[in-house]
Amino acid sequence: MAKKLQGNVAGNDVYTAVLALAVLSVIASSVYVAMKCMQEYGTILSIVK
Amino acid sequence: MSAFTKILTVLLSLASIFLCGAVVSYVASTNNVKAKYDQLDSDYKVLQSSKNVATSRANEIQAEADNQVSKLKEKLAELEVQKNSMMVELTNAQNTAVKWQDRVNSWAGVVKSFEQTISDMEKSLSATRTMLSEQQIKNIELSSKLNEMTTSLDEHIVMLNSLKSEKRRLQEQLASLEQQVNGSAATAVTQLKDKAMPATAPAAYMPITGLVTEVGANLVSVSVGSSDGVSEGMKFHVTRGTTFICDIVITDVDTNISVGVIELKKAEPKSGDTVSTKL
Repeated sequence: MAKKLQGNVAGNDVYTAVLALAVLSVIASSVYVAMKCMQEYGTILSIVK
Repeated sequence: MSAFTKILTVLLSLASIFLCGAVVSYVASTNNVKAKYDQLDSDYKVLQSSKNVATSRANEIQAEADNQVSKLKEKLAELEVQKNSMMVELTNAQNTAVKWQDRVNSWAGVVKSFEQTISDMEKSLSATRTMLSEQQIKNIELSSKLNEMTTSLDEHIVMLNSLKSEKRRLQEQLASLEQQVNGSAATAVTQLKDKAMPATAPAAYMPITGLVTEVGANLVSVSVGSSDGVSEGMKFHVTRGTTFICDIVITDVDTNISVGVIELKKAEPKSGDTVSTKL
């Protein structure tokens, strides 16, 4: 029972890591796009005036 | 965690990672549209300003061209007016030229008739001069004949006078003879002359004859002078054989030579021609 519970926790950490990676990817992409928009257009709300 | 939840978590994570990658790659690959827009906008503004400048310039040029066109039209109108006036003047001048040409032609005819008249008058004058010269020559001949007749008449008068004196002397001689016959001793009134002599012709009618010694432009010298009885104003006739040459009126007299002026010249006198007061 204890081993089974220990195995489930380890499996859950993997999925958590995958979700964290996805969240970090989304955040990094958002930051990159925001910086790109600020650099080229001066704002992040409109792409073309 | 159920298996469906696990699978869904993994799929959502992979999908989100994939989408994030796609978005990042898309954004990274896009060009700087704003810079291009700014560049195009500035170019557009520059072109717009150039267009405005060109339009204003074109408007100015158009206005200037319109002004010049109006001025040229005015000048054209003035030139048209001048052309019309010049055409009128040209027509008048042509008419005047035609009139003057007619006058010139009429005057040319008049001049020709005058020239004809003058030539006829010159011919008549020359004929009259010829007749005058002939008449003068005849006059000279007649005057010489008159001189001869006068000389002869004087001789006859002298002879008549001598005959009268002889008659008177014979009458007186007859009267004295009658007185002697009648026993009277009266003396004769008139002295007896030896013989009746014919009277000599006056010296003035003796012809003086000489020769032409020198001929000048209008002067002729002759070989007779004051010792021969030549005086100023005396007229000599120059002859060559039987041909009358001219007359000479003496203007200067020396002892053996005289100089005179030529008159009634029919031919050119030469040295050796005969001069005489009588033809």
